[in-house]
Amino acid sequence: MTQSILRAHGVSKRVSTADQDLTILDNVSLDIKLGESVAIIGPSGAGKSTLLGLLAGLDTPSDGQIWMGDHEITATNEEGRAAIRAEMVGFVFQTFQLLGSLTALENVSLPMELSGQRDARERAVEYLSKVGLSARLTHYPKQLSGGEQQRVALARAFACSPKILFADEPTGNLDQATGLKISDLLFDLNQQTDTTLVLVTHEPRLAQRCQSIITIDDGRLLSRVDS
Amino acid sequence: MNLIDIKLLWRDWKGGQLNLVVSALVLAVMVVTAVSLFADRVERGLNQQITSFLASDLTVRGGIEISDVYRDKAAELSLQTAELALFRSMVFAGDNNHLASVKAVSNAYPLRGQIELSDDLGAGNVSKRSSGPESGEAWVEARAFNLLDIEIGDTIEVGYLNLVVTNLIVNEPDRGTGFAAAGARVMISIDDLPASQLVRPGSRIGYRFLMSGDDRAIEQYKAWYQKREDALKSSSEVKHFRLVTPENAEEQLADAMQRGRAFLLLSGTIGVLLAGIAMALASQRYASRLTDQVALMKAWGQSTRAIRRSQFMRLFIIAAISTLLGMLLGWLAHYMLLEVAKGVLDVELPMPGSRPWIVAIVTGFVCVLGFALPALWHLPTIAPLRVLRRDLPDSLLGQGRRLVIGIVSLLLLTYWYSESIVTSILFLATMFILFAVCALIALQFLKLVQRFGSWRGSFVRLGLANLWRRRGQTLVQLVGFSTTLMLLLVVTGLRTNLIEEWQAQLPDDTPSHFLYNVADREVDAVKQLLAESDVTTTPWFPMVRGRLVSINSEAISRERMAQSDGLSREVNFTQTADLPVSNEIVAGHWWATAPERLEFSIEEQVATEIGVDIGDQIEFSIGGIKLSATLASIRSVDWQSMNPNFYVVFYPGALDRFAPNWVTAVRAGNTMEVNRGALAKQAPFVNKMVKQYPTTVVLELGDVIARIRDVIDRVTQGLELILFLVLICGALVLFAAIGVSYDERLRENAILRTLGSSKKIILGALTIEFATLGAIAGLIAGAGAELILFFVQRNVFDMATQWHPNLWALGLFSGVIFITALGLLRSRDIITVPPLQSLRQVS
Repeated sequence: MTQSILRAHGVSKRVSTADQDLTILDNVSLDIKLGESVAIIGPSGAGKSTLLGLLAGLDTPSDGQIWMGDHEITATNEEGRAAIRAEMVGFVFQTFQLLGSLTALENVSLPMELSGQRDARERAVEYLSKVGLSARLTHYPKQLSGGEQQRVALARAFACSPKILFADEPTGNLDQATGLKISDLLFDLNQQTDTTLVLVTHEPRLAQRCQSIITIDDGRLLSRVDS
Repeated sequence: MNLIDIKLLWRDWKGGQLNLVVSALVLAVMVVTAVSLFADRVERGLNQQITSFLASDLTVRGGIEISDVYRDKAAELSLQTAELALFRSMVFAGDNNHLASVKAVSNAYPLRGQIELSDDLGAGNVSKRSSGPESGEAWVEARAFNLLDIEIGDTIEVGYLNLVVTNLIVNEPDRGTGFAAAGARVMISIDDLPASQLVRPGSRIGYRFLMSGDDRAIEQYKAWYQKREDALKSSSEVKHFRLVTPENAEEQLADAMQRGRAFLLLSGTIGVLLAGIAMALASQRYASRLTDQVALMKAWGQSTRAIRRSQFMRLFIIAAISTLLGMLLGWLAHYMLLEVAKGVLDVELPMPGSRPWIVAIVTGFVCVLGFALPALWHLPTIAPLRVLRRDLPDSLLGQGRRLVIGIVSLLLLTYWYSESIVTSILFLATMFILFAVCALIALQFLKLVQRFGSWRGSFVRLGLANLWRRRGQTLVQLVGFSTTLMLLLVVTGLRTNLIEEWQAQLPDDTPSHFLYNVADREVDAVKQLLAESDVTTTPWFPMVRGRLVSINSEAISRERMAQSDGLSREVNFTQTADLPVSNEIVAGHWWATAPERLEFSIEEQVATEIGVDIGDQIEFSIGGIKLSATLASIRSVDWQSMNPNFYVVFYPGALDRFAPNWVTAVRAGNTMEVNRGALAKQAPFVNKMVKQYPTTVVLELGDVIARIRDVIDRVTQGLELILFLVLICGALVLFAAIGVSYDERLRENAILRTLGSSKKIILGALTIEFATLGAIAGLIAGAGAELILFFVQRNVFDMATQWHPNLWALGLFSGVIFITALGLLRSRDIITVPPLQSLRQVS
């Protein structure tokens, strides 16, 4: 049986507002296997991004436990979670999150440089070539189209060889045709690198390409469909 | 240090995010370096010049031969020494004679400065000497040639000595500016003194023991002397000697120097304060740009500690490089300051000490820690979740805390510069109150403007609405703008004040000569001669010398005498019906009618020293004859007024029986022209005077005034350039303040243009917005500058306070012009860059 890479048990998230306590996630449990691709879908405000943030260790739940590999990320502090993220996690965002003052090449190599990888530049060039941007290495984000920016973001995410890639609406800011190309690229790279993929999306076609689709609404996990 | 820190920093620099932070820091360090180097070198130069006025670094003066204890200490500290004796004596040449001011000097005299000599009566062919006359030689001043009717090479008799006149004295370093210099100078060797037989028991001779050496030894000697003097005060020993230092030797020069230094330091602090504001604002923008980067880094697994360490490392590199660059530019700028002042700097300035460099380094690092770090402090603690939810609030270090850190940094710096905690706290407290008051007033103005804007035309309404809508940012900018303008106005105001006051010290009718020692019977004839020579005089004063004997019938003890300069020696007395000019009554009354008993008035400092009050009965001794009078008034005296001034003034008639000599000051044309001792250049009346009334002494003030003007010129020239540097600091604050709202403006105007607004409307709205901002800032700045000037004039520079309506106008005008121009320049992308590009740039 395939090993679990990400497990959540009874995870809830509540926030306090001026008038009341608001439950954003309510008792969610799930299990994601190594190399699996999982889409989290649901209407706006359902709690998808909150769940993604909790699973990636970017935030802490109000109740429940989460394990990433052998680490219980809910039992450690921010410094511990940071170390786990550094070891296992990559991200792709709806708004690309490229640093405007850095070139495409610098954007891709930065996380590897931060983790002390010696061949950061070579790997960055390699992955930018893989996403078809070898001619755009020295271009700044504002000189690139939306699709090109997201390709840089994909190169940045995969170049670090993460065990799990979290993608938050990766095609949400792109037109249909470009979105399709980006999702092709995402799944190609995912297959090549055997990365576990957890993505949040509104796009049914993108979700369909994943092995599992988890639907949540009003903070509750409604269903999980494995293909 | 990680290579990645340098890479990140380099990328931030390339991305233009660090420009303002670095520029502000470089400028702060540059201003401080330039000011400190300039002040340090000029101060050393002036000190050197003042020591040349003293002919030494230190002098012990006394009416009896200087005790060995003072010589021994100088020898112990390995100081160079010289000595001289000053006295008045009749000098003969054939049938002519003159009561000369004889100065017998040792060969080492002068230790500082040089004697200027000429072998030509026209004072041409001037040579400079650092040693006194040889035995058998005499050097004499121009008017002695005239009085004695001699030529170079002739022989004169001084006591029992025959001396050959070998040189005309053009200038001597320690000629002095007081009456002691009366009588034509005859300089001889001290080795000839015994043979002259002029020194006998009871002779009135002034002895001086001159010393020079390195700063440390001089300071040690001063400290030793002070200790000895304190010990003497508590003993019954009479104080025979006085230590003269550059600080107390030439009070006017020392005063000008002290004011100049205070002004330079204040300018420096204002420059740093402005650069600090610019740094704080620019760092805030830098921080907002770094927020996404830090959130990403944290999402990628960078720990808070690693990010904090990286942050410190980057700031350290920024501080180190900017400080080095600032020091280098400051070094160049100080040469510019020197270059500008070159015309009036006729002395070789010594190289600076180490302090200016230390001040620069401390300034650089304290600025980074105090102004940049607080704005960036929250970054490492940013939640990694921010990569998904950009709406998460930043845990910014509270404005209050940042303000406190900034203020503490400034306090440290101002204390470091001024070495006075009171001045530092006063300065900063005023600044703090200023910020608060500025913000409050600015808010009221904004409310007013908002109401006004609601019924104006389209772009006016848009511009004014922008001000109100972004009132948080507008307030920050207004406080920045108004403070900058205010400080610039303060600098302008102070500079104008200082120059005006200095000039006021030397009005057009400043006397050019002092006439001294005019005998009672000669007064009318001399007045006649002066009238014929077409020169005017200040009032004539009779003058006798005397001393105080008892206060309220109680004889003045030796202890009490030792505590006061005014008691321990003879001072000049006069009598007059009218209060002399530049005198003010501070207690009691000036006599309007004839008093029943004899009354007198005393100078306030002496009154304090000897502890007398109105109504006290004082007994005086004038030439052995006693005179008793009641103290009717205490006066403050402006000793810098170049008019005859007196410690003790009696009701008219009191001194008639003491055969007083008369004194007056003469106005004979341009005092600014330095005579340099040449006979041909002397005012015509001088030649007649010395020939017809040989016992009368004429003292020329041209040289004295020229020296004072010289110092004033030096200081003001330097100030012009420092003001320019402060102005650049001010411009940086404006740029940084506009930067705070730059992204928002870019986005909004791109949307407006997308919706069809013309460039003209956007330009109009921006112009209205900046011009209004400038007008409000200008008004607040004018009011604030007035308030600061009031305190600074009164407490720091000890000047009379005055209104500055021109500053209000200047504030308003320059606020509108300056801020509109800079605002539009900084916002030019908002107008010129295509809307789509603007939107992309912001997102």
